[in-house]
Amino acid sequence: MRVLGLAGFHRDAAAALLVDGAFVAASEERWFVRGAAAADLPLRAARSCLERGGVAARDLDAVVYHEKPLRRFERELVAQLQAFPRSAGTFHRALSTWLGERLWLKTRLVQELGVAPERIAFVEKLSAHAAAAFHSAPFEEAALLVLDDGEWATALLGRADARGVVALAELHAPHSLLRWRAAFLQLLDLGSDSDGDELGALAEAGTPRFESAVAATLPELQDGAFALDPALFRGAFDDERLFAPALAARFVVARRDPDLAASVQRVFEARVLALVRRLHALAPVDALCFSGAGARDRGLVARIVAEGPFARVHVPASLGEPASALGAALEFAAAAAPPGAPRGPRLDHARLGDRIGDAPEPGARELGDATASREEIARRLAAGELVGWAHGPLEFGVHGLAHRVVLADARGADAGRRLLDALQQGEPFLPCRLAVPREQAAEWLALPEGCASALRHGRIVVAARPPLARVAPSLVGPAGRAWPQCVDADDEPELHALLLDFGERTGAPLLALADLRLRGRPLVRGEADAVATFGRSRLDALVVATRLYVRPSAAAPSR
Amino acid sequence: MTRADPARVQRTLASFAETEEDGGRDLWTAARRVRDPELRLQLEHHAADECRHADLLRRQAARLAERHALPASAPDRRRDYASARPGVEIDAHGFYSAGLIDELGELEYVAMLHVAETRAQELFTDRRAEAADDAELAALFDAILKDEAFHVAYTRARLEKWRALGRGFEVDRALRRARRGRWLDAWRRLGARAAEGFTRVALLAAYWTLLAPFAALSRSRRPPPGWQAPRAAPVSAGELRRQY
Repeated sequence: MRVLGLAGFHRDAAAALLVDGAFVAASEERWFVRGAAAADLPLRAARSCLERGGVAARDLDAVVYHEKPLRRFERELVAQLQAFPRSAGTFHRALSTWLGERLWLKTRLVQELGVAPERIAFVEKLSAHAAAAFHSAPFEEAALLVLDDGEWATALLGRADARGVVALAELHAPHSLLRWRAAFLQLLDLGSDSDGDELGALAEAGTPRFESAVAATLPELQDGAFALDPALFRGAFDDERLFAPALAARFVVARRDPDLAASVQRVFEARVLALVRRLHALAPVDALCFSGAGARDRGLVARIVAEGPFARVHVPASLGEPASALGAALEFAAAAAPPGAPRGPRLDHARLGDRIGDAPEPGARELGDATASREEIARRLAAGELVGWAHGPLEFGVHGLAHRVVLADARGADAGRRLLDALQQGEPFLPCRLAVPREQAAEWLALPEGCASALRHGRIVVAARPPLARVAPSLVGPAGRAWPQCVDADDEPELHALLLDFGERTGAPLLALADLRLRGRPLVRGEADAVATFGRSRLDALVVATRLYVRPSAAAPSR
Repeated sequence: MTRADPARVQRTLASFAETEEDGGRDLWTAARRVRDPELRLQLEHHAADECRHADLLRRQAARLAERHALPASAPDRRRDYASARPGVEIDAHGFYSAGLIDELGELEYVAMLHVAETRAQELFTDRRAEAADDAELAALFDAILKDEAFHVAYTRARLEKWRALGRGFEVDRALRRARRGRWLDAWRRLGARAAEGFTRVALLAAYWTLLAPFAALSRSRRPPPGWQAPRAAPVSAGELRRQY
């Protein structure tokens, strides 16, 4: 069975191709186009998947969209009506988009992809997230928590086993934790779509002295639910503040106040922990799959692992809209499969994007093979250089974990800052990842049990041990925590070997690691893109597959 | 431009900077693709100019922010490009894309560049006129315009060279295509704006007449917060085909 999953009308629009239960290709639209054009239907991404999978559109058994568009439209319309007459200024804009494009989704898919209308299907968005999370989990049965922005649902509690995914309870809009957090992100001037990355980092430097006042804006109900006060928060209207003046009046603080950030983070974590406890009461198993945009919050994942009732916690490699494209395809395949059919092969990685080609760009110096490339990188890193590294397939719906990364020696007082500055990541409080071989990670970090995938995919923060704080102080936050990526030899052998090589040269197998992309850009896709990014960055060298690029003035490091 | 709100000018300059930088990046890519060494050098020179413009524009935006104590603000392309001057969008460099030269070939790519740079020259001339009472900004646009004149000249010279080699028909056709693409885009934008205006009026009329009673109803029937029963999982293909 050949199923194409699509997630559209979002800045992370994406497509994924499932063939006989296994994903063969996935692409994000923003790899191909820039700006607003990427937040459309992911047609370029879809065509790329079909080409790489060797499947013609007419041979697809189904094209599955990741949400029920009419239910989503209903929610938007009700939100506008409930804000009457304040929504007068935004009503026509919201409705124009729907009337002009989104309501005619099926027709457009038929015309653009050339598939028969009866082969187009729609699934519920949070169910798609849940299906994708369970498919990637190493569990036979698990409880499921999804925090995202669905048609109506804003949180889903569920359970999954060999028979499939079952939704147990939902919270509906406007009572949304992500919307609540987005309002505070706006209040803090952090940008409401920053996925909590900046909030978590800023919160590390603050003390939660506003916690009770912040908690009062999101009263907890029975059984872990909560209610958003409509007098303090507003709907998702374009160009409008998500918080009402009454909320701003309660928190008159400086822009990017770390204490308010810490308070918001504490309350956010407390509310999610209440959801997790409720989930455990409904699905008393020992494993949890946590997904949706809410699972990007690494501090939150750390608290669920430390304080939640589940012994094992899984966070998938791919999150956000790309994950819902994966889940849409999976959900259709599961519904179409005969009862009792086995699960397809588990997707425990994100290596589904384009591969680096063989055509070098001008200025390339051939290094020979993978081993020589790795040695060159290790030598340069040990000499204090910042090095970009692109090889193999592009990672889908995730950070650059190992295939599109920039690296620096983690030792020293400013390693992380230097690396982020070189990529135009200007916020001074943003953290940088720490790559460490999995088998040596416990020497440097206080690793929690039962969250191997979160550690492998850089989805959690953990306490740093004293040697790490001493050797790599720039990668340890004010609260004494680091953002690790524990690299497994079986999972990412190239990066693992590089860490060992670097460790032999310097005595500490620790590298500062970030995505190979400039601020506001997607991960680089091909070699030309990587070289162009290198040109605009302040990196010292770039290795693409087995080819080295350096700036004209750069001298080779001494052996 | 100088009469406008400084925050908006700052955002506009920042968005100009991004467009110039994007153009520069794509020109670097194009320079690596072309076979003719002279054209490669010209494209590299052009790319360096675009990057320098980006730097100049960004610095000017930063100076403006400092002078008026403006908060850091993201470039606002949609707003500033669409409304910096009614009816005109800055698309001079906005349609370059990495690898476009592979798609078009050298001749069509240079024709497209020539049309785009001519448009950019006109646009920056307009901006220069608007900045007459701001010496700093005027000097910035003068520097950019000097480079734009070179960009128009070298692309024209290159097209003339191909014309002299007997490829006049191809050159004319490529220029016609590039200009027609722009004309069609402008026509589409005009149509979209007209349709948007009509839709806006119709929707606002519906909002204040038809929807008002439903608004009152929707507020009175707000569902209580708390847990909701999820819908049953789909069990048939028919259910999966439903959009609701």
